[in-house]
Amino acid sequence: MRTKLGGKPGWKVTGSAVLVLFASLAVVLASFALGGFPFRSQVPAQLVWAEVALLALLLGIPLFR
Amino acid sequence: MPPQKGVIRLATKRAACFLLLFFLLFPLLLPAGAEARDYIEIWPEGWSEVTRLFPTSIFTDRFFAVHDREGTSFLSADGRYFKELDLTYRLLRDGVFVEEVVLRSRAQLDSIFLGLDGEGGRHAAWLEESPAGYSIYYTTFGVPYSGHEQMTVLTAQDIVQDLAGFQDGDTTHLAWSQRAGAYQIHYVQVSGGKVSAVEQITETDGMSVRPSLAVDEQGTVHLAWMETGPAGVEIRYSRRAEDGWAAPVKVGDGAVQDIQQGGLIAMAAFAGEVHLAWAALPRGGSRLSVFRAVIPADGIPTAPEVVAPGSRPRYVQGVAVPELVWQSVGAFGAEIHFLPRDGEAVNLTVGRRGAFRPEAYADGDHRYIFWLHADADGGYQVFGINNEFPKAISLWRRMGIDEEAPLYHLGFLLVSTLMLAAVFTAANLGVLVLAAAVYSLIQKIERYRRQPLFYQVALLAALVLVIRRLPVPAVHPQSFGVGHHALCAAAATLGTWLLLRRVQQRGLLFTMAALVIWMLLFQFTALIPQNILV
Repeated sequence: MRTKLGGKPGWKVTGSAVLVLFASLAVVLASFALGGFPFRSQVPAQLVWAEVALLALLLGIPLFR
Repeated sequence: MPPQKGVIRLATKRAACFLLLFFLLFPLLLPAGAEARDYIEIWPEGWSEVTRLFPTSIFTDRFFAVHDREGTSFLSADGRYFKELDLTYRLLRDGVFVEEVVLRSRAQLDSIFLGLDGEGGRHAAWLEESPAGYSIYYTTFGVPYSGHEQMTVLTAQDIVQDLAGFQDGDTTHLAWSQRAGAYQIHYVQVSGGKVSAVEQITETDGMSVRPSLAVDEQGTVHLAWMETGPAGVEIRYSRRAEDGWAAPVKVGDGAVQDIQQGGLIAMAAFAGEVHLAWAALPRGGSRLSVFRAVIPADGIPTAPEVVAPGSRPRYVQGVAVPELVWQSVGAFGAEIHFLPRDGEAVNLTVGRRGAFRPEAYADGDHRYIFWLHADADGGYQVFGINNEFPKAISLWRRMGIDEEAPLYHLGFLLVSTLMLAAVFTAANLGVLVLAAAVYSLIQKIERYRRQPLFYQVALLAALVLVIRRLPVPAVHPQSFGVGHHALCAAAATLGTWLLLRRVQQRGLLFTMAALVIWMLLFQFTALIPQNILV
């Protein structure tokens, strides 16, 4: 049975998932090709604050639209 | 169809897609003829192949690698039995060993030294133990080698250990630790076949051990050593003035663990300053770290600063500003790290073999670094790397993919990372549930509920990123830097949006589906480098 989901045939859903997966792999490998393979590192403390700031920004956007 | 039912089917579809992909790819991989390695060596960019040089032992605390216009000279204690070691001098020129001379055969060597005088002369000293006691010998010879005569610098019945040296022109400066009640530091100069300036530097109740020497451009002799006492280990420093040795000053704290492991103080003079590097335990830490301090012309040391986790630091010889190499603990044993004058530390060792006891020199703009690897056939081998003849790195290798079987490795990487990502996603269930709860609360506000899908996915992503930092039980991939982390979050957000952009339904099940897809994609992308390396 060919199920439609959100107006999309099943094979298209499968194709989308496969494409997204391949694209993710390609993007990560392309970043290694451009910037060199990353070395293991500690999580910088500032990263946590950057993530909090991103959340605050996203929560703030609807308030000013 | 009720909206929630559609969402359930959507989530089931997505899960089925990933499973289908796995089962499709796995049989395709099996008939592949080539076999990829389950890890890939990520080569330090700009550096050469690692070259095997010669077999040696680890019975002395270090081997020597020094360079002049004649080539690279090595001095090492070679052999398998600690009482029958050969003190061997080698000269490497244009990649070929042109000389190999055993200066002293079948002796119990404690420590060795090799210095070059800049005129082609080689100056070697060694400390050996025999039934008759302890002896320090010195010899000099030229290139090409035409014989040598050894000269006795010291014979003693007391225990003598930790011979250190520094070559300044044709003067060889030597220091050692000798037991006379406690262990004290002694110093001599050898020049023109004569021993002079026989001096005892310390006179303490503790153990003064592990001396290191450096001579600056003005000819001032600088000495550092480790002073052990009831309070622990101190790094102490003194300099030799016209009126004798200055009163010792404390530079920093050392570590008993470092002494036990044969650690030494690296010492070098640069533009009127003396730089010291050694291994010690950082405050509250249990792993050795490399510390460094500077002693300016006024003789008052700066406060020690931590360079990096590791031990056995050595200053690169022949540079105008300090550059360091040291060994550090990696996933597969000790690694060799190099800190250039301006830049980040580079891990020079790849693969699954522990590398240790680095030595380094500079030849112009190029750096030559050597270390030991355990040999599969027993014993140890000296290996070297340089940045004069960088290894060509293919695009595949640059990406971490095995260049000999790239498609096989890519397929393996895709499937294994997907499976691992599923496990990591399941291990983040607590994070997902908490994020879903917070998101649902936010959705109670009309202003947030009316936002477009991409905003909703981005908000979910930001919530997960913050909540996974909270003390919620979860498993996280290893960190590979801020850039990679940001890329993973962005790719997961974009991918989730692409997969869900046509779904009209909203609700808790949609939220959970979006969260699971986002987490799966995030873990998948984040785990790729970790999966390549392990």
